[in-house]
Amino acid sequence: MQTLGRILPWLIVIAAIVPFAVNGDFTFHVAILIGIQALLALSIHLTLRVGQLSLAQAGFMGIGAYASALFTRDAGIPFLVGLACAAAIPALLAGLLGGIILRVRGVQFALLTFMLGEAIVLLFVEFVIPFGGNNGVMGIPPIALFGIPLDSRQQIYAFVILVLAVVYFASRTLLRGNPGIALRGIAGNEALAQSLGTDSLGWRRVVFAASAGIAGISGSLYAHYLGYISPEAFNITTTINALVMNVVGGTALLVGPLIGAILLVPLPELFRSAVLYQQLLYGLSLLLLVLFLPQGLGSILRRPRT
Amino acid sequence: MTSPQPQLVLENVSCHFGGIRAVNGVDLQLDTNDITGLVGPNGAGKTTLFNLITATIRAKSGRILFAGRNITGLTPDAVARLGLVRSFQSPMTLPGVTVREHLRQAALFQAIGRPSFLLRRRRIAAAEAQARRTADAVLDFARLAHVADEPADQLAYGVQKILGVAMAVAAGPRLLLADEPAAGLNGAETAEMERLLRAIHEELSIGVLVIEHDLPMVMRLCSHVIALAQGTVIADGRPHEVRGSRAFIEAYLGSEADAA
Amino acid sequence: MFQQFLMVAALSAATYMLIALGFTLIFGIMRVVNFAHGEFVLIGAYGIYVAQSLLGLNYFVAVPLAALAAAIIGIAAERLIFRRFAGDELAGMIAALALAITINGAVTAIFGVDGQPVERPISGVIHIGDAILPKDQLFAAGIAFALVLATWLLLVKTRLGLAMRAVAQRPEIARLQGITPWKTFPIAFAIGCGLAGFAGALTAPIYAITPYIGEGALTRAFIVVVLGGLGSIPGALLAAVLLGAIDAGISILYSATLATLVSFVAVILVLIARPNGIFGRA
Repeated sequence: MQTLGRILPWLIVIAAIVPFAVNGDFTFHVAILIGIQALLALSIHLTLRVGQLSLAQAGFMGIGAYASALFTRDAGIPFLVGLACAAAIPALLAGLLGGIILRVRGVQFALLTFMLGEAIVLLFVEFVIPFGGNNGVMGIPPIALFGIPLDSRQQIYAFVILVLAVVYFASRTLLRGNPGIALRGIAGNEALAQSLGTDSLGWRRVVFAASAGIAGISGSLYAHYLGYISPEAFNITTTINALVMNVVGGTALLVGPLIGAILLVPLPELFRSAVLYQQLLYGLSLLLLVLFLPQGLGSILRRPRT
Repeated sequence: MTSPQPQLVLENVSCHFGGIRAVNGVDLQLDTNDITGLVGPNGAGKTTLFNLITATIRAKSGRILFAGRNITGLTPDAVARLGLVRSFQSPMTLPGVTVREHLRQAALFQAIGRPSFLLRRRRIAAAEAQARRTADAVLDFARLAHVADEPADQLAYGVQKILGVAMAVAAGPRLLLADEPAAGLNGAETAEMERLLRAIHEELSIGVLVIEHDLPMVMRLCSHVIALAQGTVIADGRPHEVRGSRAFIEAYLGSEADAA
Repeated sequence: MFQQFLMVAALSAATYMLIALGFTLIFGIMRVVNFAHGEFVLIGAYGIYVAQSLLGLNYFVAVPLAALAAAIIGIAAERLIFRRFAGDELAGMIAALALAITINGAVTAIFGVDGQPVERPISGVIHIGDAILPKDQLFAAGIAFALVLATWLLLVKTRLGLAMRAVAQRPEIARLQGITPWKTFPIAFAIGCGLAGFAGALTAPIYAITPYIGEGALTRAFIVVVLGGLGSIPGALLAAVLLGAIDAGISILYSATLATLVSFVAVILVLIARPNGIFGRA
């Protein structure tokens, strides 16, 4: 397990460089989408680390996407500021709501976050001003660094990888340090950690807010890459896909969601011809995976011992 | 018994589950100068009272004060940060973590327990160094040095319970609350637990409150005994006073007669 | 206006009750979060379409058949999938998600993504005072309430119901009494999914049927169950009434999506005071 943990990040680095070697427009398109989805999957991973499954992540992604898109397109603010807002607004919302909804665990929390995700999408659908309703938002300006737009797929991909790397290493540093000790205490034996002075609710709020912020960043990159967004991109299916990436990639290591993204994102792009049967096949594959996963799914959630 | 030492005061504390009053209008005071024992027959409300003090459950009415500060309604971790640290009746460990590391983390949680510490990075370095020293010191104090680098969840039951008390010590409490520390321990382990609790009080000047069923141990160890029955205090004073009180004898004899 | 509100509220509440009751039953007895529950509503709705439009059956015959189809598929799902995850909530959740995607994918693959029209079997209205009450909505609401009552009686008055409640509340003792979960689980699933199927079948003529109604139904189930308290049947029923009223009020005055948003806010507000729902336990 130790050696695996050391090799895998290097494999990821190699995988990240592959698109430059293959060098086609379509390759970079898929690679960019992998990077964006990897961020979303990473955001779910963080909530799993404290023993909670948040199903609202695509909703937070949507908030980041719409915020960044509307601020840059309509208020003319620079992309990087929009990106910052895309992180901050969902994080604030999650931090606020977290005070209430993090008091429950397990199933109830999953249900609540499911509803939250749905409610957010409904907001985008219902309020045609400013969200454009079902038609969404178009004409989103491209990613631009200090006024210079990135106009090639290679450049956009490089930026996405950069953001992913920053988020990944920031998470890793925190998890290896003292916050990691607090979080592992909460996940391993919450009653014990609390009896020794660990503010379980406070820490889980921070993690929930951070995961929402990361999802928001993912949304902003998505919006500015595609140039248009619509509400259905941020519904529960997107969250479920991100969850599946965690299941497939493994939840023990921080690189797990990245691996899951690399494995899963290209699939629909490759089987685009069988659109009508796509969902059915996806569902069946997932069922088989779930039924025959070697360790069972007990490992997916670091459950706090009470 | 008046002293400048922090006191734990309960004023008319009640709590019920369903229709049953588990704790009914309890008034008590204890001093961190004493080792206090909380005794009573099964179902007397000792564990409930304990859980109320440690904020594991919420009181329906009444107030709990520690060192003059109202701690009613706080979260368990807030109470722990104020210096009231408990150990558990069953061994509580973190999976895959060594004994030494348990103690180090116990010492560290006081500093890193709240996320706001992220804003105060400089003080943490000092806390980390101190935590290492504390872990080493407590390892010796609790006589756990020989298992320092073993995974705690694989140790014997009795050793894990000693570790539980040791972790509470590592957290630097002013009052240590031990929930049936001797439960499930054999004779030798019980003697060691007794030694540890006495040493905590005498050498570290930490107040101790124990719930215990082992009456002889309580009478040997404690300087202040509070007896509960059916959710109310029936005797409160020095061990020989409580042991001789009629209410206490009736409560215990009554329960023994029922058991016979 | 008020009678209109009552009508819509009653139908809403009845639908909520049917869906939430089935969901809570399955969760209470098996600790399985049936994320596929909405898709069983979908099976009921498309079952009506198949039975009526393709097989030419009478609506009143088609309804129980559609519900039966949902129940049978539910039993199959329990046997093949959920049985393995009985204790593990999260694993069961993910398995249910996979099942939901599969069912939805199958329906989409067979019938396409566009909606299907379903004939309204009962036409005409009843006039009470100055309110216009469509007969088909009255019928749907009436049958729904009757089903809820029947389920309630089953749980409370029959030995089977007692066995199921025993498994829900004290599984170890139930086992000692010889009530094996392996017998109660399929029945719980059959009833739960059957109720969902009924919900889909009864509302199919009233609302359009598309492959997307599963998601909306699931959200409704969740809102009711979280508000009422997970695993509590009285809670689910009370919450269904409350949410039906909110739904009716806001939908009539504004829009359906706003009604869902307000419901969500209402649930959050209740959770501040009671984190586990109205009748929930931690």
